[in-house]
Amino acid sequence: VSARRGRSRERDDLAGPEVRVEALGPDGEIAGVRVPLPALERLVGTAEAANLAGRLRELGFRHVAVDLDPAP
Amino acid sequence: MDADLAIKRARLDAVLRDCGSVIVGYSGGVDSVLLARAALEVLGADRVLAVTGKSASLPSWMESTARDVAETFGIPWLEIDTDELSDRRYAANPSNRCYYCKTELWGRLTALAAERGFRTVVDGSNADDVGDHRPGAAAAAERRVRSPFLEARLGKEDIRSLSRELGLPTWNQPAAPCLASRIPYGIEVTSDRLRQVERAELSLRALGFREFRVRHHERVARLEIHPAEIPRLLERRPEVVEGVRRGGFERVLLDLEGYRRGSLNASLPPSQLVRLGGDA
Repeated sequence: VSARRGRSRERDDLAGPEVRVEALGPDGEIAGVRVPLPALERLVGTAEAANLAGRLRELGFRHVAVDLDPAP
Repeated sequence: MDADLAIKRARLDAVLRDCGSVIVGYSGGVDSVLLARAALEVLGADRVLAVTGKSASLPSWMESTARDVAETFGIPWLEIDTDELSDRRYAANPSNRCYYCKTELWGRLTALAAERGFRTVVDGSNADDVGDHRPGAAAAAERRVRSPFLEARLGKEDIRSLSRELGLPTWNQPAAPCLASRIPYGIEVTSDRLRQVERAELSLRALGFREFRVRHHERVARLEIHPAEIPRLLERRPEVVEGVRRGGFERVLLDLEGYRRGSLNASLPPSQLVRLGGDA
C-alpha cells in the first residue's frame, strides 16, 4: 500500500486541510499524523485515536503515531 | 504471606538448594534482583555471586539499581564487561538477536562459575515468559543455565509479591528489556543508536514517566507510553520533545496505540518466533 494513497485518503477522512499524514521511518513504516495543538490534545488517548490507528494500519502502515510538534 | 505464595516460595527455595551454589545473571531488573536475594537467603553469601554484564545495551539506571540493591542487601556482586556488539551476528539485529547476546553472557558466566567453583548458573526467566519470543533461552539451555522461577512455577505477580515481602525496591519496577529492543529488527545495533535511545529515555525518566519505550526509527523517535501517563505527557509536551531531541532525534512522535509489551515482536512472522517452552 503506498504511503501516498494513505495520505490522501486519511486527509479526506479527518478534520480538514490542517491534518497531514506522512510516511516516516526508514521503510515508511510509520504513519506520522500531524495536527494542530487543540486537535492533538483532543485526539491522544481516545477511542478516536484508536480508530484512526486501526484505519491507517489497514492501509499498510506498521505504526501510527502523532507528531508531538503540532502543525501551526 | 498467603498460603499459595508461601508454597511457591518453598518450591523456589528447594530449587535453589538443589543448585548448590549459584552465579546469578543479575541485570538489576525485578526478576534477577529477587532471585539473587532469595539465593542469598537460602544458600548464604559464600555460595552466591550476582553478576551484571555491562554493555552499551544495559540502561545505566539498571546498572545503578543492580549495584545499589547488592550493596543494601549484602549480595555478593560483580560487574563484568560483555561485548555482544562486536559479534556481527548480533549487531545485524536479526529476530534471534537475543540468542547471540545471551551466548556471550552465559558463555562468560559459565566460565566464571567454573573458575570460581560455583556449581550452577541461574537466570530470572519465569512462568509468564512461557510462550513469549525468547531466542535467548536456547543459549541458556546450551550452557545448562537453570531458571529457578520457571522450575518452581512462579509468575511475574508472584515475583512482585515476594519482592515486596522482602522489601526490595524493585517490586513495582516496570519491565526493562535491553536497549537494543528499541531498534527494529534488521536495523543494525550500534553504540550510537543505543546511546540515542538511552539519552532520550533518561530525559523521560527525569520527567517522572515510568512505563514507556523510545523506539528508534533513524531520525524519528516513536514513543510508546502507558495510557495512564498520556495526560501528563500532554501537559509536559514541550519538555518531552526537547529532551528526546537532545537525545539525537529530529522528530518526536507518540504512538497512538500506546505502550505494548512485546510490540517489537508483533511484526514477526510465526516462522521466526522462538517461544520459551519449546513450540516454534
